[in-house]
Amino acid sequence: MRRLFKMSTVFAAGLALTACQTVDNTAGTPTTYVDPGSSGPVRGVGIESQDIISMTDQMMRDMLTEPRLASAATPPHIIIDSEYFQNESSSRLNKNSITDRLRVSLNRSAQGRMQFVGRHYADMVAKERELKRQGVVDKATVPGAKAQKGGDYRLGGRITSLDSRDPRTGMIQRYNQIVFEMVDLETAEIIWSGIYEFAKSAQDDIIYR
Amino acid sequence: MGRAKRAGVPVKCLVAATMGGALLSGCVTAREQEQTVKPEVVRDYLADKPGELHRHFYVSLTQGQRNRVLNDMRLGLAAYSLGQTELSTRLFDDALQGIEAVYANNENAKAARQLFVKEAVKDFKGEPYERVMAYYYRGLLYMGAGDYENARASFKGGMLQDAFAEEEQNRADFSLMPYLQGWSARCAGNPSLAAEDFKEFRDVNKDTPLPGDKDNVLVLVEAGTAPVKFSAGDANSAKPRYLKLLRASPTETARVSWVDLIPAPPAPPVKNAKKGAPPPAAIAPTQVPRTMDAPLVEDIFHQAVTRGGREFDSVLNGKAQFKSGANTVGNVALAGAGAAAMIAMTSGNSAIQQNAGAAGAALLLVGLMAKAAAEAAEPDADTRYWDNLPDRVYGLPLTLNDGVNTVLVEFLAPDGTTVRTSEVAIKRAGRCGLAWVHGAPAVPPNPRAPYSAPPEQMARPVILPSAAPPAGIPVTAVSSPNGEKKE
Repeated sequence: MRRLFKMSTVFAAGLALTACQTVDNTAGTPTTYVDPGSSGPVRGVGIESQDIISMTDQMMRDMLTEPRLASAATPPHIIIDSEYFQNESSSRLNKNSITDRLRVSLNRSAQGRMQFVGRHYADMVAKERELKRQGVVDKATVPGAKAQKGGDYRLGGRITSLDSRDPRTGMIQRYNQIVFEMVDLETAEIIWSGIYEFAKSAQDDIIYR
Repeated sequence: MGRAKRAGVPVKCLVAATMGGALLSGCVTAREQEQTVKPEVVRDYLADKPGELHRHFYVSLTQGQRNRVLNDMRLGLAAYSLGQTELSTRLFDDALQGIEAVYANNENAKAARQLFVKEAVKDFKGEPYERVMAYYYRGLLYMGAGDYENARASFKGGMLQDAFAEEEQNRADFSLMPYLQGWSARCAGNPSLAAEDFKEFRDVNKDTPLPGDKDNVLVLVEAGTAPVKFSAGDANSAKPRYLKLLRASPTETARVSWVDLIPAPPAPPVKNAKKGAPPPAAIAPTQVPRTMDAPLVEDIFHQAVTRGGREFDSVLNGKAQFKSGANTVGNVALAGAGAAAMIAMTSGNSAIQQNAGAAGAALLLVGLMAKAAAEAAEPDADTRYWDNLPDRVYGLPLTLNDGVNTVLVEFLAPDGTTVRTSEVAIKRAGRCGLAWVHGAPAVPPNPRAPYSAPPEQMARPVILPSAAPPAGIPVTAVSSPNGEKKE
């Protein structure tokens, strides 16, 4: 009987202690470098760093196989920025993170086979040209040009998504489609197209459903 | 001696079981407690925050990760109403990051499912109507910055949060979102996408008129106060205490007035005008006062209450069933203990007395433990809520020329009397302008969100720490609401 009593008391105390989390003993996580090309510890169903790296790498490789872009007798003038790259998806994002990476990767890989026009710097260039022509600053070392470079081709494209949810299970799925197109700025001909698509799904814990 | 020994066992049992019960019923986890923060950390954290919100941000700092999304949302709205758009953007971005994070294999989520732990121990993400409104305000911030593509993405993301209603007709029916998606698409110069969005809007809202083709300013009027959450049921009942909501403010409508500027027709050329004579003076535009009622675009309370049951209610139900079962076991065991004690007292046979006494003691122990466990089970719903949300949102699209920079908004009681008026500035960005007004005070009077801390802490005044910490209070390291580690 005494043993039963002692065991019961210990059991009751143990139960009481396990029921109460009295100390928040989260150890914390020190700052860690995460490979942007792989899934990190925080994941969702939207467009993430590894998707941007994969898609821009794939588009860059594909563009370098297009003869009109990479093997023309005269290197074409290319504009790659987010001006005509539309986000119609349900992911909030900075489109520049895609177009900037594409332009930088392509510029480094093309090695002079394409020339890139920094249209997003047009204002900056115009101001400097104006100062030079007014004589406020000297002419520097590079010979003057009649005008800023025009573009032969410009990047356009669209990001779209299709979302679905199962209200019964709380499962979320998002299909993302990113279309890249290079457009001839004289004829509007689309001389190159690329598409990158992926779908992700996830299910939140039942406490949030 | 033998009799005293026999009599002593139930007393010990009673003490042990009562202590166990007291321990179990007194469970407040460390996550629910506000933490003490070093004054210098508080000072640095508050340095770039508006003075009106210092106490609120201080609470946010002490409440940490568990209430991070909740505090981000209410402070994001308060900052937006104070014109602190950069701060508001940071807060809503942080809130959406918390909302969009998928909680799979999360320890705190797991804890909230446990029998003796409240649902409120989990990290707050809000009910769907609250999550949708976080996307709504982030979308408005994008609109204000002229980024209509991301504004539309934000509204579209918000609509997805409304897909979990129990009944099909209430799923994805948050009409404010497709309305603003369409408006944003139009402002981004994408009329075909706008048409699709307005079609989606019309599918869920048959009454509110669509913006006209030439409308370039949207007046958004938020009226009333947030839906109030409570945990339904009798506190002494063993039934699950599901989440319920209450409309806390009377219905207000909105009327918008402005002075339209009608450009004067060009002055006719002067006949036989002398060469070099000054041109005729420009005629000032005609000022025409106009007034319109703003149509209702969304009833937030309606959205809050039409969600139906939650999947988590089945977990609460399980906890309640345990509570009920444990109570029954406790009642039966205590009755048995009483009967055994009666036998022990009335029987003349010492062996029967001894056995009945032992059985009675064991039953008493079991009964009290079962009662304590029943008392400790937590079948209560999480009732923390975003308390500075509006009750309704009205929207009035207008065609205004650039000279019109303000509108006057009247909030009307159900009998048509004016409750209050606000002069609202039109902020133009790109093709469109936005005039936004929040009728009720957007800065919450209580720095703590409702039920965001244990009752004794909720009642405690919020006093910013002075340079030196009060003696005797341990200073611990906490994470700031934005995830930075502060020490």
